[in-house]
Amino acid sequence: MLRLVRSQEVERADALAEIARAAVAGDAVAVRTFILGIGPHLLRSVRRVLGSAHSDVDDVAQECTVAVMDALPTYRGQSTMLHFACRIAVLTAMKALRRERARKRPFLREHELELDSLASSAHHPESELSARATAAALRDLLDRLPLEQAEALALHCALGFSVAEIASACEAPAETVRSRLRLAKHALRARILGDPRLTELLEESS
Amino acid sequence: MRPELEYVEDLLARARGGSLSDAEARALADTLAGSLEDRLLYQVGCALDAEPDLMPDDALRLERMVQIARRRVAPRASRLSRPKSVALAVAAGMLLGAGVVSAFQISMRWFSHRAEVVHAPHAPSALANGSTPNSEQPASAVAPSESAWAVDSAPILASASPIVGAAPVRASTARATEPESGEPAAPTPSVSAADLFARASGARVRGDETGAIALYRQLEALYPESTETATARQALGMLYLQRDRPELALHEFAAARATTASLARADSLWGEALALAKLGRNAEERSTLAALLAEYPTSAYAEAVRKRLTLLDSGAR
Repeated sequence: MLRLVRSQEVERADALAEIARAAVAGDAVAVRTFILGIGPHLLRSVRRVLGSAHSDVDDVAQECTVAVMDALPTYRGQSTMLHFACRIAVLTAMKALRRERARKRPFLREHELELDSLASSAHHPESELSARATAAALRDLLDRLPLEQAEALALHCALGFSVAEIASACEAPAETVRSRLRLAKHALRARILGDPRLTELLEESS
Repeated sequence: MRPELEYVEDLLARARGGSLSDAEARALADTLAGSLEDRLLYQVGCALDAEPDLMPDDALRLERMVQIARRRVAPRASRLSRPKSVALAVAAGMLLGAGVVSAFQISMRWFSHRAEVVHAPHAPSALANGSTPNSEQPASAVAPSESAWAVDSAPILASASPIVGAAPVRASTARATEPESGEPAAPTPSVSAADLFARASGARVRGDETGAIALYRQLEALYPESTETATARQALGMLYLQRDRPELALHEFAAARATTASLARADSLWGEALALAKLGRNAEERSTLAALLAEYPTSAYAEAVRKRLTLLDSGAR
């Protein structure tokens, strides 16, 4: 199990902020160092929101890079640089997700799995099927929820942010974040219980 | 529960990070048993955690992101401060005014010269040949466009690469670099490694494999020590593999492995193994795969490596 923000990464945050300042000033080496530092996190954030098999991951990751570089001058140290960048990545990826759904373009639905891939890639195909279906349900929800709730849900579920971390990244009071998460949890419950197949899968895997 | 775990969501997040104390583990069990919503939230988080974070070619993706970020920052850094901009605008206005006045004077002189020509029919008429009043200059000094375009594109089009059909290269910025003497320009690299890499990557993304190969090789030749070259070698190896040239791919992957570290090294080892498999050199492939698995047991390649090793053990090729 991998959690995005570990304590040692928080320690790196100030160093990243320093590098970001040099990058904004046009230091090419600092730009490279900064992107190599946050890039894997941006990619991970995008993959968690869109799904790792999504065909637009590369494009959206590049959009995130542009968005982060554009937003750097507005960074005021309200959260760690890593959280700041990850929040931008999550918002950019959610925007892409919503854009895609709006166009109703056919895309890979991750819970429609090939039996072969399940057989070869997992020791417990039922658990994997359940996990993928759950992840797909969350992505569906990210598209439907009001943006603030979707953002809080994505930062918590996808990136493992605590309430305090979400609050600082979003510049919102902790209780507000908690309220958004509570509403998102209600919606998640309704979404899952409203899908008998998904409910069954979750019961089987637990 | 620790003091900082004020909310149940914090407990869930910490549990996914795998850092719970015994008391917290008990609290988590109670929470999950007592609340369906929290249980679902936890399950969704775990489902996302189970997805792969690292993918093959991530090193290339990061390199592209670096190029994009550099291009994004460059114009901003070169932006002038407001007072400087105002001063520049004033200066530009004065220059423009001076230009208008000069143009007026030149045109007046031209009309008077034309009047003289008309009144002296036996004088050799430069205008009759379609040239300007300044056309007494040697033709070579009037910037022959063909050679001027060749200057900037020289490092790219005059590639040391044996590959034919190099990618079309924009040479729009080249004209100012034409030497006044008309001598051929020295083959100094006027294109940066980053620019070459970006062009090569662009060609690759467009599906112009031949152009991409030429540009990557150009990058290798001009900037053998650059960081972009290490990544270019990796990309080149993959392109050669796609074109069924495993011997060339093997060479590129080996070169990439010699110059790169960490994640990119795993990519190179995997590429080498693929090339060796295509060449039928199974013993070497096995040792390369074993090295990859030993060095990067949790990489995205690990599962595929294990499968391939099992196949090799069973005697399949």
